[in-house]
Amino acid sequence: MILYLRRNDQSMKSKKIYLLFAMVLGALLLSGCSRAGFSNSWPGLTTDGEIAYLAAGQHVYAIRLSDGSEIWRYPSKATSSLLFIAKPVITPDGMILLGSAGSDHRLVAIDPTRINVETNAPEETWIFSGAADRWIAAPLILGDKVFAPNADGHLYVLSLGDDLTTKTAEQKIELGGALWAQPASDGRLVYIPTMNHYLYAVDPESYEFAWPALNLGGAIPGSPLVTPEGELFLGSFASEVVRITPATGKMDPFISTQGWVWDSPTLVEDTLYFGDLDGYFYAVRVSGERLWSIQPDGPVVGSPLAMSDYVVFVTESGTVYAVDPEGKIVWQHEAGGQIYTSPVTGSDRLLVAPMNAEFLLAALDTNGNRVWTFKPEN
Amino acid sequence: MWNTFIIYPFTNVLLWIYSLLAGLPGAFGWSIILFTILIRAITWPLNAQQLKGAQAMQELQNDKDWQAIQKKYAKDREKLAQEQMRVYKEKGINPFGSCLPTVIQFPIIIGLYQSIIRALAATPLGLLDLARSIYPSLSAAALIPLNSRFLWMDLGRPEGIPLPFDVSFLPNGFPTLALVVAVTTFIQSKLTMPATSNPGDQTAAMSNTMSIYMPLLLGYFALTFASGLSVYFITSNLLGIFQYAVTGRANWRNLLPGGNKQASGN
Repeated sequence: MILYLRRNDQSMKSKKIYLLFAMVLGALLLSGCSRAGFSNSWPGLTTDGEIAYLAAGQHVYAIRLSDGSEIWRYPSKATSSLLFIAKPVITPDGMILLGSAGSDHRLVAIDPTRINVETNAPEETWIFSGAADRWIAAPLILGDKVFAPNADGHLYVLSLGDDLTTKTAEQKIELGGALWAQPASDGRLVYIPTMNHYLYAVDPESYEFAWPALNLGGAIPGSPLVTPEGELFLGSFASEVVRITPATGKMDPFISTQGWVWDSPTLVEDTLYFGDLDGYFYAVRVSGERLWSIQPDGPVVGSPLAMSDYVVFVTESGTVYAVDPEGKIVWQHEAGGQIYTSPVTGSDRLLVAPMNAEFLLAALDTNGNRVWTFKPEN
Repeated sequence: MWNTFIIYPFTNVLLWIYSLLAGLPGAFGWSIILFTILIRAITWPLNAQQLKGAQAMQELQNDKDWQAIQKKYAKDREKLAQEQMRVYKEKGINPFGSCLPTVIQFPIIIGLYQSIIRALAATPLGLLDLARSIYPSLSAAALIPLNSRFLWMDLGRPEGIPLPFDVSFLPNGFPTLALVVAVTTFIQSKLTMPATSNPGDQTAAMSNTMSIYMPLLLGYFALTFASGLSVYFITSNLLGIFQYAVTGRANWRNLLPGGNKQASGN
């Protein structure tokens, strides 16, 4: 009887262990899913011509363009509450604005000239913690004001003219729907696209709406392009790019696309270049004349980059393409991973920031040859 | 494979239901509830079979032949197992039948959780994933982004009612939904527990273990993960209790202390 009970007990124990194992496995699977959603988004990239600033997850890196070496990183030690995916923005006085997409919803200004000797991280100049959600888009600097769009559906206006180390919003403009795109401005108005399909135009002084919000019929994750002639061009998930006359708030169809348009078009002379999620890349004159379209090898998310003789764009397949005004591919470079971040240029270097590659940043020369790659040491 | 057969269909069904309810306050929450009803309807025969199996197991405890076997081969474990299997076969009982719905629940839970997170698309990469998951027949451009608000909750985040003071282990506030999930899971588990007078009966012991661990585990999930998953748990539990009640198989006495033993005496 004792033997039976012991065996029975052992059998029960092993079943309980299996049961617990299954439950823990389930918990791990769920945990894995939730983590994947928040930490894995493509990096934000900007440059001042000598240094590249890369917002790549738990750190923002300052990387020397000449050789790809790391100058500093912020914060010095990774914390799970801070995640950076929004493009860093450089203020006129040299501060760098960083918004966190982690559970700590801070917008912070760091001073790259004040490096802490112990941590080798730049000192914080000010912090704004008044937003309720994540910073996915970069803020816009206009004069001495910061127009910061947050995923909580508000545009926060902060002043750069005070010396406060803890900022409060000078104005909080409720727009509804998450704000994922950097606002644009022609100096007269600030244009703010929202994920709930609307484009708003706000007077930067009075904060009044210039005209009723325009419904584009689809989410707008990209910024509007403001042309020198004062027109706006904006793509959306309605699979089209529209033309907007800011003076009147009139919206006209510009061109229909095969897929959803993510980021803003790039203007070179009188031609707009942009891509869509079906992998097409378009060239259309401002007049509306469709010049050509190509479909290389994957969805095009980031904005194209205008170089002297060609336009560079990147694809999800991890390829960098340079095309001339006739739509002919001048060169292509297989960077690896997936590239969603808009390429930038500085010091004759073309910078691309792939995801899931062996490195975080690559510098190419003007012929598409790799010069260096950046991978954090730890 | 997982995406093709689980995530994409789940996501598209959720979006399709959402498109029908668009304009209704809390449309995505209602979509999850309707989706759960759909899943419950599909798995109804399976659950009915499990209930039948549980009832058969319950009846088996009072079967004289069964009790005789337990007594006769109490010291010979192998022989006892052989004889038990013979009886199971003769009576057409699947001893593991009661576990099957729970086992099937796990891929559904994981699939639904991933689908909720995917449909709500809280990050740019998430939105890109969603874009490629949507079937062309759905006019998704008009639907996206989904409104994640439902009652007082953001379905894409863990639920909690803010407290007037900080509690370090409750960063989201008082976890109302997690408690409701744990309680309804406990009630559902208890209602289906086979009554037994045999302390060595493994099925009953297993069910007893499940009735303790499952509420804790699902309560933990509700506490930690997106509240949309909690809405699924609660709806599923309530439907399960409803099913047991309407089929007359709910063991209400199990909810009382010592009710399991009391029932076995009947």
